[in-house]
Amino acid sequence: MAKKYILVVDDDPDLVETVAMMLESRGFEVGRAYDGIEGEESIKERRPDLVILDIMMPRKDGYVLCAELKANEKTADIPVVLLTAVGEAVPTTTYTHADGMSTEADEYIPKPIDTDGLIEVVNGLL
Amino acid sequence: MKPPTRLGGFKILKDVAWISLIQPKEDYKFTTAFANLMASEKINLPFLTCGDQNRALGLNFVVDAQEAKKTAVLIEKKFGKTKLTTTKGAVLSIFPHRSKPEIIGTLLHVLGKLGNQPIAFANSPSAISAILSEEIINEATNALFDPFEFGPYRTPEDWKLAQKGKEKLYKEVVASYQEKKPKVYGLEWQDGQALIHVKLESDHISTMGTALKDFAQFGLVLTFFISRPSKEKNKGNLFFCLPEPDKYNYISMVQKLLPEASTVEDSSVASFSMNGPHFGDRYGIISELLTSLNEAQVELLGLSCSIHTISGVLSADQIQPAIEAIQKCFEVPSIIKKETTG
Repeated sequence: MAKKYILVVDDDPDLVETVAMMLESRGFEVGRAYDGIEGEESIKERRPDLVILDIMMPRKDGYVLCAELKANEKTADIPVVLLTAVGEAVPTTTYTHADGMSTEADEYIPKPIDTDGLIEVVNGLL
Repeated sequence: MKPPTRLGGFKILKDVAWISLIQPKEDYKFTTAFANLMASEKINLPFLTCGDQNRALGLNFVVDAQEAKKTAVLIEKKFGKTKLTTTKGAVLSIFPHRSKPEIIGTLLHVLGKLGNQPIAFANSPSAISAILSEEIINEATNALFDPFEFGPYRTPEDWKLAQKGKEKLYKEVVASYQEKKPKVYGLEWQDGQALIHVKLESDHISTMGTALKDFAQFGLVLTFFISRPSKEKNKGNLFFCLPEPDKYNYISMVQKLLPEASTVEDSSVASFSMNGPHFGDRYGIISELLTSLNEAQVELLGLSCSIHTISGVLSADQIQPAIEAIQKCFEVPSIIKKETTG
């Protein structure tokens, strides 16, 4: 059976590597991108089975990329997990647009990331 | 011709001053005192490496260019006369290296070809970082696109366009951290290693890159890699960790390619690395760690701080006291012991 492909998008390359190692050690194939635009390009190049997105990133933040993925019928069904270090400030999966509409990510995980918790969330969404 | 190696990306931290400092080792707490001084003045150290050689400690670090003069004055005032040089520079980081010596070796090869330029190295679990003088940044950036491919950036111009506006966001993010006890994302350590110190001519960096690429044939995983300033002109010092049982094989490979280089080893060492939220952008983090290690009477043989990670090498019998000391000053959700491979 083909490995599930997960894209990790975060502007901290050390964290991307930490999360990638957690996932690879559990048998997933992992793609890496280092800001929202790179994440978007990577998704166009190869459709992931799931996306793990940091919220605060340069060029395009995780909320906006999530909203764009969910608004596009080609990518709307890709599960999105949001990550953030500033848990108290951003304890939500919801992105509110300028017109008051909102977009929901599928799950939210605060940093630091617990390996078992991450795998549980990922397996639950796949 | 070998196709380019595909990497995720690279980044350059500009407008920094690179300071090299050598201090006699009689004061083995010097690095801690230095880090405490920087923290008390709210000076961030986005890059810091430290290693010892012939009973002298050598540090390479960067500060914001605007703080260079102030930093030099503070050091002289606090520690008296030290051998200190300041160069306007930038920190180049490529990632992910996945601990593959061929990627680190290729970077050394690229930079070594730029001429006899002083270069300093540090590594984190994802990235190999190098401090370069300002004059060669553009040349170095362009040269990277020969042996490497970087995700969506096909040319240096593509990459340059994508860099705008990043610094402002980082400052906003950093200002949001208020923890009393900084959290780390994870702490990893491994033992069964040897710390190798290679002293070589500065213009032989490229040949050392070839040696590292040769290491790759044997599946070596490089867990620690730094350089430190030399007391002697036109000399360089590289420190890296190897699996203890295989160390002589690798040392002989270095000696074959660089017969004039000298190698010294510290046996039975352990290494650790810990990364946390924007550790590279926040002042005071390294000061907390070194103070706690000092209190536990743990002495580091090598230190590397870059990107968002702090890595250290120490005698294997000091790893447990070191972990306890880290847990005292940081919130550590997970500790992972890695197996040594190679």
